[in-house]
Amino acid sequence: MALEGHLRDLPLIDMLYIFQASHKVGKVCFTHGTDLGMIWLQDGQLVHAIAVNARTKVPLAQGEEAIALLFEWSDASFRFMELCADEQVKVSITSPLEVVLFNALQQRQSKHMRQSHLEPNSLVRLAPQLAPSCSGGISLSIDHWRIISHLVVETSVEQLADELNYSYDQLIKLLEEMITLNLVNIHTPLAVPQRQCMVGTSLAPQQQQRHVRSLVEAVKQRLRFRMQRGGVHVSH
Amino acid sequence: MSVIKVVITGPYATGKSQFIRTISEIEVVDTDVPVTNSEELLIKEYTTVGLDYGMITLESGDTLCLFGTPGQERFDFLWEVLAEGCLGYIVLVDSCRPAHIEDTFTLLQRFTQLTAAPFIVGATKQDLPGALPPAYLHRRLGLPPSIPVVGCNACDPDSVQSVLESLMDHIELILKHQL
Repeated sequence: MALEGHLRDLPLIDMLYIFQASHKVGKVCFTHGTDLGMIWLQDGQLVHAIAVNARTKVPLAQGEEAIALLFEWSDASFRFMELCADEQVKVSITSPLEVVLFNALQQRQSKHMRQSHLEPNSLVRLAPQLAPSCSGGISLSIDHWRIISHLVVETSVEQLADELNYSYDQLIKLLEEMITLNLVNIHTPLAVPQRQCMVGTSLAPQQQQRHVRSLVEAVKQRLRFRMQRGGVHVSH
Repeated sequence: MSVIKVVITGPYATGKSQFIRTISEIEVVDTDVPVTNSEELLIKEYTTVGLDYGMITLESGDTLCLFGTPGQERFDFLWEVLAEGCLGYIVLVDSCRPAHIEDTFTLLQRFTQLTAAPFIVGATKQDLPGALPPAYLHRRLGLPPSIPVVGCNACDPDSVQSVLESLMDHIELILKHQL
């Protein structure tokens, strides 16, 4: 029986180092819900990786992007397999393992940082440049293309869902996939309602403003005075 | 004679108590107790569980009161009380702990809903090596360009003063736009 189990018992990072140290040749199949992943190894080096949705057959990522995605599948099951006798292995990964792992972990971290900020008012815009690891090509669904063609200008998540007729959850899932591919940038502005200068409520608005202005001026004057005197008197 | 209330808020261990202590004329009334949470203990030994209170008397006889909120979320019920009727508030963010940026963002979201008072952000610990620049924190916090982020050192009176002045300038600017 070949090596098989769950990534929760043998983390991907350990597995890849073990294969590298033992100069393994073969492939590993990963199953994560309806998603499938596969990595190919030559002399212990990662040479190719791909992730697809088994149900829709839509490729999710390949090369280094797929490795980054595999790091998300902490509960996936895996099975090591020998290469078939006549199997031609595509090469989409040429960087040393350390570099691949570093990039994958970095991408995972920045993705988490960006996803944690996905709010209805988050602004979505096309990434000015694809990640270098995407140079081997990426596959997009029609939904991804709909979003891309709509992003002529920076648009909020809420507006995008309205205009493209997606449910909010559906759009978030698509945007998360696009973030993984580095296709879009997300920026969440803090929603700050208009500020009002009011101290107490018994005064009319005009009087309020005059009152606040005089208080601010008094504070500024006091602070200026402190500066001239070389500090306020501090009694402690 | 008026009492002018300014609130100093921010997540855990950003220097709120120190900020008030540095500028207050009176000995600060604090409610610091030894930290019991082992994770928090790694950051500091004492923490504010109620509020900090400092004071500056103005030439006009009015009093500028500085209220510091407790940093931990479990005391956030006090924020509403403290925010009520304040002239403005200062949100402190630790320039040396990127892990706290998310907490500051959450706090900003809460506070901007609690009160419509004007606010600025003070990026503390700017004197420490490797401190993140205020412009970077401005971007990471997703702040509108109109909200200033001022670098400061909560132990330095001049620095604390300049943050307070920035808040007053900001309030004046808002007043000007309201006219």
